[in-house]
Amino acid sequence: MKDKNKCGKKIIVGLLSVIAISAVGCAGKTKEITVTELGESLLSNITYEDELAAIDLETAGMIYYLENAEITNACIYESSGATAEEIAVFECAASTDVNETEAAVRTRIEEQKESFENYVPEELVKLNNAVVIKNGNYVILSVSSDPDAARKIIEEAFK
Amino acid sequence: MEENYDSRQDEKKVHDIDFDREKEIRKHKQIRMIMIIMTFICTVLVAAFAGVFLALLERGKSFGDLAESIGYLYQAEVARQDVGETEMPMDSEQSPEQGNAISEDKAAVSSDSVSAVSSNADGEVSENTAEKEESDITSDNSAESDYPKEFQLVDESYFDDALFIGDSRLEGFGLHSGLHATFYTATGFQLHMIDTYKVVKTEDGKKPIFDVLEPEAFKKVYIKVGLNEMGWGTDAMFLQKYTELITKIRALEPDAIIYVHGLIHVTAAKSETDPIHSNEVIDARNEMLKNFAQVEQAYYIDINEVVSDENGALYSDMTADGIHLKAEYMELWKNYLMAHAIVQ
Repeated sequence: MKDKNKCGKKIIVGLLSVIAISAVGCAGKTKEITVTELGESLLSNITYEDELAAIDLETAGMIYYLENAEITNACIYESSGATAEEIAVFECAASTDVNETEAAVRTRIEEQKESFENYVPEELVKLNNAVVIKNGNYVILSVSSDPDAARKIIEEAFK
Repeated sequence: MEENYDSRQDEKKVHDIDFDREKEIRKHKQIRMIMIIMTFICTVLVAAFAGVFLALLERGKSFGDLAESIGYLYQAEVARQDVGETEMPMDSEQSPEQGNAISEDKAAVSSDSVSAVSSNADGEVSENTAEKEESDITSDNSAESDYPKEFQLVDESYFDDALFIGDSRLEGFGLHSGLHATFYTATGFQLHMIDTYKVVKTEDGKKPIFDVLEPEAFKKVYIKVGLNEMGWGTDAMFLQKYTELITKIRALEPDAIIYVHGLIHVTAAKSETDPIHSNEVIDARNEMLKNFAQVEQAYYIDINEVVSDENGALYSDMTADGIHLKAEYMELWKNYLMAHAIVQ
């Protein structure tokens, strides 16, 4: 009888462990998104002063230092140079790449602040309110005059 | 007899008095004349001073800038005397077209500034052995040996070993043209900050161009600066900095063809509301750059031919802010560069 009880307890503990591990796993898993869809959504649902245009990842090397990060997908829209407006959605290969990419994005914002400070100081408002969101293997940047809308679009994309 | 004597004495007295009066009148006349001349000179000086002051005010410059500019020109003149005019490239290379251009008022002023600055650079060379060696490299440069060459049509691969140096407009071109060239560009970039302005992305953050530029890495160098500098210094100071830039580039990239990119016009609306960056000022600076390029044995290119309307203003539908070309028009710019290339 005692042996049967012991066996039952073991089964219950085992099942609980499996459930717990599964629950933790589910909670940590990020919804997979399409970088292009999110990028396009940020482009079309926010009003920009400039006309933003898409650039490829190789060209983005001009403005982001991403040599140490493995990016699997990216969707980047850049201004003509008239404003600091910008959209960048990066999908990284691993969490270390995410940190590298986030650092590159934050460096970019600081460099833009330095550039625009004496050029078009009005753009500093957008740069000071730049939205940078890290979610799973994704890093998203939005520089616009409507950071609340940008945040909402990004949060919706991950729901 | 005595009466006659008295009468003569009286006549003499009257004559003396008349003479003194005449002398006094003449003296008064002279004083009046001197005062008129002095007043005239003072008026001319005050008018000239006011004219210079208003001209400086209009250009957003100060008397300090003017003094500095005169200083540059004085140095250039001293250098010209040291080196001797026969060594100046402009004398031997000047084309008839350039001669005609120089006969125009603005161009004449520009050309004077250009040749003065060029000789200034030569003068510095004569004082500094290291810099003289750099100059020797320049004069032996194969890219210049048969200057000027005719422009040719090339394909995009021409730009694979090209370096572009410049401001935010050129950065926009780098981002949206699709060319596989190297772009050392930055928003707000100005020529006089070239030694300190952080432009090139590296692992350790952005760095100034000459901290990073490697020897013999490029065969073509396109330079597009001048719009952001319009509120800074004088034309002579700007050209002095430009000469320094080209000298440094040629020391590192002796085989590179140097292109001096003219300034792109702004829209008519922008031109009317921004006197510092008006199209009139841009045209004057472009004329200066055109002459400067010839002196430096570089190639002047001006895309205004394809992006400006009949009034010499940037087409308003090509830009969002009146200055920067939209991405979709970078193709025009790229095609222009491809049609205006020098092949060694």
